[in-house]
Amino acid sequence: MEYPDRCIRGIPRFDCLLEGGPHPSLRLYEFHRPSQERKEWHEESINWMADEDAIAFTLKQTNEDGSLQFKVGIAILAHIELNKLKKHHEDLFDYERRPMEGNKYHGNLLLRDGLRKERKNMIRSALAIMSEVILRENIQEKK
Amino acid sequence: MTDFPQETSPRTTPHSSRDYPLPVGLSDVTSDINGGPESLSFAGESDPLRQPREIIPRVDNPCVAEQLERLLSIIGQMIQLVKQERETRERKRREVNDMPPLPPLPPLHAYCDEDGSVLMEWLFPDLRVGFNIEPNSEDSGWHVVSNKKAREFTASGQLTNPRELIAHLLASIMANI
Repeated sequence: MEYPDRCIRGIPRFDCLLEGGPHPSLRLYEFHRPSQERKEWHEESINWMADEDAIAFTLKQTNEDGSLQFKVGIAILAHIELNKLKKHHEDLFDYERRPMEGNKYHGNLLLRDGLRKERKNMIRSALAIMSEVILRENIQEKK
Repeated sequence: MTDFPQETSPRTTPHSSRDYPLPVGLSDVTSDINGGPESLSFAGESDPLRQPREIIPRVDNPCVAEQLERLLSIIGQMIQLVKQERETRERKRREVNDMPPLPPLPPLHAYCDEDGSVLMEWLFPDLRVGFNIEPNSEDSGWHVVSNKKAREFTASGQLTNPRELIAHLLASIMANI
């Protein structure tokens, strides 16, 4: 499957950043939700940057109550970095494109179930170190 | 070669600390995607362990609190040892050339997780170090990851011999900041 060069992880809360600064905490990549398609994996939603509208689309995504889903901003991850992580930890980490109704950009980062926590945290931390955080206020400033 | 105790990544995995030791001697510490070193809290924090110490009274599980206190004590002791060594090194460097002093260590960040554990994260320009302190001490662990400026390695393990681990980590980290 072909992948865009980058993907976006929305940042819903300030505690996903360390002390609210530009560095993600492990909370940005929690992997709480079991994968709907793949047994023994958990998933974390992302949007693939398939076109130039993907960032604006992500920033406009809302919760069921109509509030903005990603109030804080976004983190950008390069596909090449995700691919390297996957190659080195094929048994632990994967990713996918999974378009859904109303979101053609949608995909998932995937983390294997049943790992010791430090192994999970190692993958979460690897995702954090490759993340480029862009705060919503800075995106708006650029417009 | 730096060899971590209790390292759990398969030896055949290229991304294990056995194949990619912590990069002692790395000179370029500018960061690409996460901002430069100036964006880390290198300045103005005299005690990098202040915030984790402050959360100890808020940790519900006494076993977690005890482990956290012990780990922070070990890190504090090791920092003092490494600081002494660094000060000696700085003095020597200044004698040779008028170089600026090395920056202080960035703060360690700690927070309570929903499952009763405590997570600690320590961010350096090209490295992230983490500890998870669990109610069952056998489940407690550590991890290290680096970006491409520090050879892109990943490593993790159980926290069964923290003194040896912290000594390895700090020696390597201090050599690179």
